[in-house]
Amino acid sequence: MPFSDADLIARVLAREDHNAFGELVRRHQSPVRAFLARMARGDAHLADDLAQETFLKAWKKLHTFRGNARFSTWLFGIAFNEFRDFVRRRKELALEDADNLPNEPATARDGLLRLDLTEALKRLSSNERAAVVLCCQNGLSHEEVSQVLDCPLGTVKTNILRGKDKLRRLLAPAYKNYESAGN
Amino acid sequence: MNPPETNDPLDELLRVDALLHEQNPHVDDAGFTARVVSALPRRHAWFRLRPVLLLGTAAVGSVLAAFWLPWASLPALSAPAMLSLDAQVLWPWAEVLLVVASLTWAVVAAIQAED
Repeated sequence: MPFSDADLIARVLAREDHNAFGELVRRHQSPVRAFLARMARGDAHLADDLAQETFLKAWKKLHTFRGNARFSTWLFGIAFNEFRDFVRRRKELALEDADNLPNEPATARDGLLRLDLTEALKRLSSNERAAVVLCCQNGLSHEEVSQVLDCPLGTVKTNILRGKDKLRRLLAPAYKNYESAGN
Repeated sequence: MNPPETNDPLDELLRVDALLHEQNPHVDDAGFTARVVSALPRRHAWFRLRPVLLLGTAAVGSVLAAFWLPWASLPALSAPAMLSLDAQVLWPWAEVLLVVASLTWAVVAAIQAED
């Protein structure tokens, strides 16, 4: 029978078990790296660097994990903080103003709606992107997203609504191409 | 995914949601876990030593307190003496209480660290 996350965490805390922590990393690396890749607008190298920092920080702070949230939720919180610190260091937050949407919406590329979605996600502000990806892609509840992003529930809901609204606007031409390609 | 039947904004919204669900690819490990594990620093050195240090400090402190605190010359505590706020009466007791409280805290912290 496979160990649960809680079992593995207990082993790490009791015995500094690298294998147990390695198993935790193996289980959670994919969603954490995918989330950070989304946040880093597709920069896989940056996402992996941030993901490595995320897991190293998790290792150091594991004794503070109280188990009142899912381990993955706790990890997403650390990952988002790593990303936010990185952005702060690079002073790029100003470039991510929600009003900086381009006047021209993303163009459809031969019906490749998924590529357009990726491009459209890059145009959201970091908070909107994080909220939409965590909620709609990673299946976190609004409350969990609120924990991860360390912001009020109302703000999360607003960011998700606003993010989806922008996606809808940005993807509108892609839908039209998609539909006409299907006819 | 099927294209929507209508141009209803809600349909569009649901379609975006569904697309987002579809776009949850598994990221291959490709050595990532091994890199993380090889970079793990020692985490527990302080946490392992903490209870030992606290208990050791408490033991040494107790011995020193037993020998050095002026147990024999402590003034008698009575309600009038306490109410008078006489420093000559209260100060020695305050010192003793402070030392005992510190030692108690060290023992409790050591026990909690063991947990």
